[in-house]
Amino acid sequence: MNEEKFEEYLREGLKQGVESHLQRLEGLEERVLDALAERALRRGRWTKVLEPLLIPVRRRPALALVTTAAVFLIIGLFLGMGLGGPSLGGGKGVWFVVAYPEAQSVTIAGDFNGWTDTPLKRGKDGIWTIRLDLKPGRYEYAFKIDGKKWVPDPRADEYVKTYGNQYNSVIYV
Amino acid sequence: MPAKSQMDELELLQQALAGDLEAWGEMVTRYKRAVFGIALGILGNPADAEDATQDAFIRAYENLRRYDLRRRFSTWIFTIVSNICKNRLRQERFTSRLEDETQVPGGADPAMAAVEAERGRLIKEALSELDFKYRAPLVLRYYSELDYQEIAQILGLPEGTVKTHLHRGKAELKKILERKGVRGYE
Repeated sequence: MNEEKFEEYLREGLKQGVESHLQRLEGLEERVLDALAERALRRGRWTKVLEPLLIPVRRRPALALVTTAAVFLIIGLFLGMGLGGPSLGGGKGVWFVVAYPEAQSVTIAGDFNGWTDTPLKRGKDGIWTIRLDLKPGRYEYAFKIDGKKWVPDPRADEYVKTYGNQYNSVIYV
Repeated sequence: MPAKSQMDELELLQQALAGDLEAWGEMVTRYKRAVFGIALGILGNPADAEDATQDAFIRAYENLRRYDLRRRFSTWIFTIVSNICKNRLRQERFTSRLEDETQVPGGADPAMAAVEAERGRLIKEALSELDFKYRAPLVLRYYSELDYQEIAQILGLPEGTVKTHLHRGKAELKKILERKGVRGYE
């Protein structure tokens, strides 16, 4: 039995199997994006229902930062030494981070600043960051790229649909 | 900024990570055929393969933050779709469903197209009789044209095991095809 011929037969057969059904892939992009949007919306609805019962959970680098600061503060107070460091001003220091190497400017607007543009600082690798002092609560926000394009935060806790198939990000502090 | 279709993968992935869903749509366009081919080869059923393909791109986006940009995207998305197919095969209803809805593509010589379509159907049927452990490496090797190392990464197996499964899988497949009276490759 010729091994090479069998392998070629297998290749052709598999290829043909796919060719026969390629029409199933038409519009897949839209279906994927719609499903992602629907899932985000569903998560948003459930969170709204459960919000009073939930302890805000953060999955950001800021969590580590805030936790570490809190630990040092407690240790400092315990030792009677006090602790210097950033003032939280009645709120929590929350870092917003987004990668956009090609952008000339990135701003953030949301419930916390009356939906006005607050600029992020560009790092040398195209990572834009800002630290905001926020009081505990739920905030909707979005990034604006180059002063015109609104984008959600990929690291948000959840998303809510607004108008025109746009999504706001949601953060729980 | 260049059009999405002209951007390289890394740019698209960075934009997708930054929340640009259009960039993710372009990644779907680039990989949907390859992912669907794997799903169809493993599951055998076009409708299930379509579902698995869609599911793979949804899961990939939702886990994009965990994706290491230094890894090849193809390896990552192929791993996701292989795992989805493996889980689906565990459910009995997916193992027993095999639609005979092979379609002859238009425009080609009808006789030749019919022969090719029949070959595709026979391979699909024969593969569906194999265990996942033989089926997946055969599809990744002979449809996706991947090397042993990449197949090993995708399936989470040592390279030696992949080679063994390919060897045994081919032997099993030949037996099944011969049982069906197929000897066209000899």
